[in-house]
Amino acid sequence: MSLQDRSQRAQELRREGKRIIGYFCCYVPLEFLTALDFVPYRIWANMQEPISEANLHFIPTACHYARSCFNNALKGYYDFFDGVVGAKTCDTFDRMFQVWKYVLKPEYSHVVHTPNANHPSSYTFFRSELKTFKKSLERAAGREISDKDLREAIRLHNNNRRLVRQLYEFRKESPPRISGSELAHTVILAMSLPVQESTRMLEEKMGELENRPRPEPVKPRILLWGTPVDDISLIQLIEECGADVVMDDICVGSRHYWPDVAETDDPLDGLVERYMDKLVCPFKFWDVTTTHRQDVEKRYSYLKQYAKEFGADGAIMQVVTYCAIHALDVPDVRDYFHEMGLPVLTLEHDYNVATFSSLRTRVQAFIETLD
Amino acid sequence: MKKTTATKSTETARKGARFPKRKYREALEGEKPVAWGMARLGGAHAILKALDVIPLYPENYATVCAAKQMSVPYLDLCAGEGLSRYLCGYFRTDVGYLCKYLKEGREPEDAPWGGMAKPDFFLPNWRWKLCDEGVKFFHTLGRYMDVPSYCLDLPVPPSTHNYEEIKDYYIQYIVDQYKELRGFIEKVTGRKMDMDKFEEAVDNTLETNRLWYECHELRKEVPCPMPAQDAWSCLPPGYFWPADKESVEFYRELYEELKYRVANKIGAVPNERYRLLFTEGAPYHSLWIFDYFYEIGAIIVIEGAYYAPGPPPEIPEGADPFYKLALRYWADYEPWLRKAKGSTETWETDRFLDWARDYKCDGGIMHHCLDCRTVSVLLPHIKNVLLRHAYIPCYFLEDCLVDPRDLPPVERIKSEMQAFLEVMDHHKDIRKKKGLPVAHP
Amino acid sequence: MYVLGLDVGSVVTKSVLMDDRKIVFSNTGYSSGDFQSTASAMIDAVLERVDLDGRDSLRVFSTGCGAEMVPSSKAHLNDISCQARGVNYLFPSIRTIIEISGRSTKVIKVDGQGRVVNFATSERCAASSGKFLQLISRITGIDIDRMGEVSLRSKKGVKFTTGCAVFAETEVISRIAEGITVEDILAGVYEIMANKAFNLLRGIEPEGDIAVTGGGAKDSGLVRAIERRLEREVYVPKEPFITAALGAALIGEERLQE
Repeated sequence: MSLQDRSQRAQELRREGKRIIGYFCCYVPLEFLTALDFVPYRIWANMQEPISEANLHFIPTACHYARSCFNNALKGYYDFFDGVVGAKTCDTFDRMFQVWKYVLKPEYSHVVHTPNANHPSSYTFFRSELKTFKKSLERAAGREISDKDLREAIRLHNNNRRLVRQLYEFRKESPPRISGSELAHTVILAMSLPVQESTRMLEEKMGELENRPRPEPVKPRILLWGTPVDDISLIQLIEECGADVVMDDICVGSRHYWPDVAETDDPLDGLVERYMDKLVCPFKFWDVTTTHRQDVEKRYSYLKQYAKEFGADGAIMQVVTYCAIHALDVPDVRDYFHEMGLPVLTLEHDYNVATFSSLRTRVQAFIETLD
Repeated sequence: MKKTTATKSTETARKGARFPKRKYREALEGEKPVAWGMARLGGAHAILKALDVIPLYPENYATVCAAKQMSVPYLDLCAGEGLSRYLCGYFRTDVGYLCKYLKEGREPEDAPWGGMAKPDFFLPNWRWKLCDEGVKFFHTLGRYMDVPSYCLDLPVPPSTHNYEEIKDYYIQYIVDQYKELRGFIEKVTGRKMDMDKFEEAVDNTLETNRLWYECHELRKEVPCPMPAQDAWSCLPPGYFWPADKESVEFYRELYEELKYRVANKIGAVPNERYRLLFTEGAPYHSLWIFDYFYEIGAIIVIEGAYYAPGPPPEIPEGADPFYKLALRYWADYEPWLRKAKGSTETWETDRFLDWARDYKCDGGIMHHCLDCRTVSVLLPHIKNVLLRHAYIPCYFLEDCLVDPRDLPPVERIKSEMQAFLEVMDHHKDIRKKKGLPVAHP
Repeated sequence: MYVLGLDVGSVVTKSVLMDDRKIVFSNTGYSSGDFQSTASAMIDAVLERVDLDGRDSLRVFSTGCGAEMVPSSKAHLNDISCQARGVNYLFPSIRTIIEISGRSTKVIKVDGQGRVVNFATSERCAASSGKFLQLISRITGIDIDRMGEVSLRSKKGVKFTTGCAVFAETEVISRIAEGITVEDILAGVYEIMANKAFNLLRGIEPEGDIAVTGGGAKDSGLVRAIERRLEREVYVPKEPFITAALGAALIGEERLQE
């Protein structure tokens, strides 16, 4: 299925009477939605169309990604939603949600207030906040979530995430049987389906991959870092320049699929832990208790593991223009990659394919140095 | 453009402007621990005061550099640090300052006010979830100043929540963090908190904010007794050091002066004709552009969503001082949080709407800062809401917080302001017909 | 009583001489770097045509970015009010104006008396100014005055993925390389500009009849693209350059009568 048609199934399900809930950001606990039989659908931006409508409500110097998501909504692409759920993570997304609610008046809406600190008190607060979310959804559904439903939903999502991680395993091969763009394509579709169907789709993909012959030849291997990318054009550009994208640290990717929810007696325990401790995004402010150097190590040591396991030869750091929280981490992460001995290319882009031609020469030159 | 002094500045404002300099100097003496934090410090000033820690503000220091025309060299130094040009102008000024600091091994010779004393710890705070960048930049500052941090994560209820259902655990989260912060500072500095001193600092904070609030209330009068420049000059004591006795006295004096002016109908501009709302972030490098506004009888009567404190909170008898402090912090936005659900969906726009009416504004100046998304992202939305719900038009001024090179040509601002007077006249007629308050019919 | 409205623009200077609310004479010429000498040359041109006893009895009111550089000007008027008044004089039914000039696009709402009701300007955006057209003219090799008619031959304009002039430039180059015809490319370029104007317009919630003025109004391709975007016809003055100068003369007459 082409990415342009990614919402087809959700629209079909809605006609069959399912309720579709759009969500921003991987900090929204989807397990609650699934437990009540709502269909979570990730809200996508649009690399193929310029932003027109959203600028009536936002300044053009606000994050291109967030504005592009809203632009899609204003163009009516999300008219099949029964509601929207956001997480208070970065401030542009947060405010976009408020304007979305004012302008489009969704039938149901909720924001999960995600703490940006990890103090002992933050966990207590977040636990209450999850209960508020649960209550709000229960009101919308007209029924309560039992612990049994919630545990089942957790299992479904864990299973789904495990499958995506298995897909990633094929990228450890050299050369990998699944290209970066094919994997991104699969993951984007996976996030546009109810979890059960998403899992079935992934299982089929797995079966197909196991019988797929190894491609030729061996190419330089890239780890891609940065802001959300929900289109394959950028990854394709890197591939066309002669490299394989073998691993990512992006929220439409490993950031979403790596951590599971521990199956605890009280399901809330596992959920609090996943959404507080295990998810990664630079918006989170971890207190510095020792030195800056150790702080970077604490926040980014997983990158070392990724680089090693996936055999990265270089890293491309891409940041959508006006994402301050990623841009502020660029010097630290760049230095960290350098310490691992990985060459780094930093790209800033406007989340629009028309702007990519200027990136191409830089990517080409970078990949040549990796050979 | 010729710089004029069309306004009658308050006497007290001059003193307010001297406040920060004293603090920066005191910190340089090196006798007390120093913390670097974000504006308003998450309402936690009293905790620092009781532990004898001086809070300094990189954000505020950048405005000082801008006012002293020192930002450009610092911005140029920052440009070599691999940080994006679109990042916060305050922040890039500070990074430039720190580059120079590290190079010279001490506060640079030409640094305004002798420089910003080295911190013992960072205190980032996510004030009303408004500026993620302002929190995050302390991670980056760690590259230059290797000190521990405690991040005050101050929650703001989304308009999707039922306020009454959630307010207790939201306020409790603030109280808990204040207590954790105390433990953190005690550990870093090796000091013990003096509870009597803390109680006094909390009371000062409450009183500073109450008086400061009352001063703003007086600006609702016609003619308005205090212009924006004064409000900005008078902001540091309450914004940065409200737990000090001197701050209480400062606002008492300001209040008396404003009350006298109101009683005697003394306006801040000789011939007030238009009342303006201003948002957001003062152009500290070019404050003189407002002189032109005043020449044409337009005065800014209220500015910014984040400056003026909210009404004093109701404090239960015998409340714990940490709780009192949290209630004071919460009070700044409480009236608007309570009603955001189902209105314009954001406390920011609701607050502007109330202000536009209460301060009898004729128009809004939307200061679109190219280098500050936090204060700018919502401006088109605010403009839409003000026009739709209150028939108040807005003028967009595109500019930067600290970089004077980005100010549009003065001739253009003047010419557009002239046209904007016609726009305000037109909407004044609409408001009159609808029976809405008009200050100068 | 002769009143001269003088609009000293960054690219073109325009003058309109009025006598008792009637246009006597109008003129345009390129602005040199020196606004002052440009202005006096314009005034001299008027004096050659009109019988006046001396320069003193010609009352000048100036507007535009060089307004303050006209020493003999009785008042420097803002160009938005002038534009509104000038268009209102020509077309009293107009309630919304789109002015596309060499440097920027302005949208203005006016009432029946030609007073400004609201306005918005696009600065810092090359795609909404005449500069963008110069750039495209250079890349396509089509003379700027002919671009409009060439674009009108297009059956299916290119859909550009960007609205930004800087990126559109590269996109235009690659489309040419792909072999797409120049008329389709130009139609796409005009669509970008029309979209920009349309979006600016929506910010002030336009109403009533719409006029297009400024240098951009002389470009048939651009005007057609704007009409397509707005799904309606627009008014274009015969001499779209001079509306602000006309407004300056009108406001000047009113001031003198007061």
